[in-house]
Amino acid sequence: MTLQKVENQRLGECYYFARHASGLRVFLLPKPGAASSYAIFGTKCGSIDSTFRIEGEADFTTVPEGIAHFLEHKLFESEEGDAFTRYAATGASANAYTGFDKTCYLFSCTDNFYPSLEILLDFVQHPYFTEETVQKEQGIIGQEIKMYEDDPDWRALFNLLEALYEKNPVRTDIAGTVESISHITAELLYRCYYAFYNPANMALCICGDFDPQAAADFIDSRIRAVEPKPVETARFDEPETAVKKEARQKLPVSIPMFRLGYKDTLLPPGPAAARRQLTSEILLEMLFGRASDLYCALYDEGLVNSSFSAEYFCGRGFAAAILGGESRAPETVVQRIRAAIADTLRDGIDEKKFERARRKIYGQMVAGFDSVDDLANYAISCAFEDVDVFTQIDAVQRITADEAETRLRELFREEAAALSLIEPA
Amino acid sequence: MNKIRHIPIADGVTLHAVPAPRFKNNRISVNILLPLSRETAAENALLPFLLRRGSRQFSSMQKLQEMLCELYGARLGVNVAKRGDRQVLTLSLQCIASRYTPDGEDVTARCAALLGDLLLSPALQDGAFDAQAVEIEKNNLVDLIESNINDKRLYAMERLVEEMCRDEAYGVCEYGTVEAARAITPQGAAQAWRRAVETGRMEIFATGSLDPAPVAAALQAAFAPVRRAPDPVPAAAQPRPAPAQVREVTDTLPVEQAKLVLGLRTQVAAPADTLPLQLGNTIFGASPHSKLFVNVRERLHLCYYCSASIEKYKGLMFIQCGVEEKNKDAAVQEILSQLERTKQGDFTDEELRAAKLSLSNSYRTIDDALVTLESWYLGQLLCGTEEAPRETAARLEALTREDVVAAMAAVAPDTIYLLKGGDAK
Repeated sequence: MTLQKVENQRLGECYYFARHASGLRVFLLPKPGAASSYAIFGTKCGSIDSTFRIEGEADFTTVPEGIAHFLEHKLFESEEGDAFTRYAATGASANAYTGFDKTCYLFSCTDNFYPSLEILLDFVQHPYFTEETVQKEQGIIGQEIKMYEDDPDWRALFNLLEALYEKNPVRTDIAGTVESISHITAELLYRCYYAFYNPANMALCICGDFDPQAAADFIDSRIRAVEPKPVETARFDEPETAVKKEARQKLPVSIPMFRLGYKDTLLPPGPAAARRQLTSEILLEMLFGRASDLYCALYDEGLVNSSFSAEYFCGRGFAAAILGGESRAPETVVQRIRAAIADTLRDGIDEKKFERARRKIYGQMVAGFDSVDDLANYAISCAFEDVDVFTQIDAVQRITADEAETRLRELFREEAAALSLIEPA
Repeated sequence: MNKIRHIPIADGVTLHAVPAPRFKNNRISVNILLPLSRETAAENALLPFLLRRGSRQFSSMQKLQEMLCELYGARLGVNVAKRGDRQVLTLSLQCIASRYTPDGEDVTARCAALLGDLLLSPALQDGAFDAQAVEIEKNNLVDLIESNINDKRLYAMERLVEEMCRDEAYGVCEYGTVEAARAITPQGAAQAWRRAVETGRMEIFATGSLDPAPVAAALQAAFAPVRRAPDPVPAAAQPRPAPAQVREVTDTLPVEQAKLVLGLRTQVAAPADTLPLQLGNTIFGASPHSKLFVNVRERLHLCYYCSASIEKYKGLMFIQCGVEEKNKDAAVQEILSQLERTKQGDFTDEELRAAKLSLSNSYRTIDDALVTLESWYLGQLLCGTEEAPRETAARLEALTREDVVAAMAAVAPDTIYLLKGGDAK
């Protein structure tokens, strides 16, 4: 593999990119002096990818909800045993996670980097599923699902997503339900695996103190030459408005929790979408961050506590601004949020406040480059969103108050808003 | 890594400069160590929350937060923790190093001065904190104490500690009780502040690529007017033996999944060397190749998580497990049987080797984040040692099966706690 070096002067950082013959994209981020190295191998297959077809197929297949997550659990197994058992010999700390739009396998190690990388590349490329092991996993994942059913933050989020989205599968729990996973079979797992775990649909990012050329050579010989087979995920004709205005659930919590969401329209993945995401983040910081008029007022009136937050929640095929927190008077808080948005729409964006928010976001992004783990995770997200690792840190210096003003007018559409409340049982 | 420098700031106040040149961020934290007690825990816990609101110089929270934005999103953090029978109050600031600010502005020394200002110059009126500020933060503290119920795993853990250590300082919640929090007055809060800044032992850390000299100078100037009369350092408590009869405690809440927590007593506590105990704990239950993970989860499929941890200052061991209520007895039986095997030395050389590698990996990774480095060295100070994480990791190599058996020999259950589903009483 030929390495291509990409540098960023401002940060004093660089990375190396290579494309394997199979189509796999490899990002190597050297961190001289770091104690640990972190490798992450992921596929563009998340919980939302439950209806798909491989190139050449006439029809879409729909698989049970939660299958991407189930597959993540099962991939650790092989005829010879469990990948965790193999990592035991290297000391690496290994894990995996399934998100809405990707599944990633990772390890962090301070020694035995190549033996650990060998294990990672090997088990992710070797599926082994039997009916017996699938049945066993249904019990463990069933317990995981039940654990999340008791998690009020998780419930608040998914109740909101169900209210915002009608068809987009982002509205369903990543792990599925006890019922849906009961329909998963070894055969279905293989079908998903071969659809999504084609190297051309995957990326590998490594961050740490290692020699990039040596790592590239090591990887080159260990990625199987599989013919690229594009997989297409079904598109959903999702309305621009919310499905319902409100969702309520009673759970054992100390005080009510709320999530207020504004479903956003979408841009195709790439630098324009990334810049829009960043502009939205600056806007949210300006309107609802710790230095905002609204937060300071609500806090001093005892209406919110420091759990109050606002985030731009987005991924492949979905985007929303989500505000949330705990409050004894969540409906009052929501009214005040709406009033603050209306005031800003009327008065326009204050340049000084915009500048402060932008500085803060810049500082946070610089901070993100300190962590080996965060950087590798960020790199794989960038890879799947077709954005360069340094695009955002450069863009944050150039985004203008006018762009934020445009976002303000696009983002907060009342017909696209929904409220999720968790009330004490 | 270069040596840590210890710079006296005031009587019983020391700055520890931990060099970490590869980071783009710097972190400064003030840690006030106080005896944990039922009488003072709440009023002490309130202090960092009151102090982070502003000072004489920053008359409102918003003015302070605006300044933090201008310092490129310097992050003001507060934390209240317990380490053994001590309560640790932390006020910290993290900011980007001057070489990453667009105009090369040095924000670190300004952050040191700001931290000194927040800690030592609160806006008191007639010897009391502002009544409205105290009211708001009291209510938030009450919410914080009560919000443990939102996280059932944490809730179960806290209930176990409360029951098991009911007549020890460690049994007191680090935030105190709801009743004590409600009783705090603006005058009482000011007295608690004076007691903390005049008598509390303070360990200040400056971690990153910063130059410690201007940080020390800023802090020395801030402390100059303070009349210090530090409390003597209390002697470490001796570990208690487990009771002859194991105590069982059960609570009922409407939850989907039951939470089981076992509290055990070991006879090894800091400042004695706890490394062999940590190694035994790792073999037993603190990695994906541990006896608990392999048997309770993978072989018997009784849970999604089952893991063990050590509180080294008290010599306690905790085992946490999320189970179906009907499987509780089976889980307890299996956990205790795996404990017995570990105590008897019934583990393979591979298990011992894997535990060493896994533990070594987690120690060495501490070097890769400022906050973990700081926490590590604070822990070292409390044990009267100054070992680097990699030095501790290197000591693992020489530990034998006999060392593990000796450290684990006295481990015995004290209390078994179950949070089960159903209508709360």
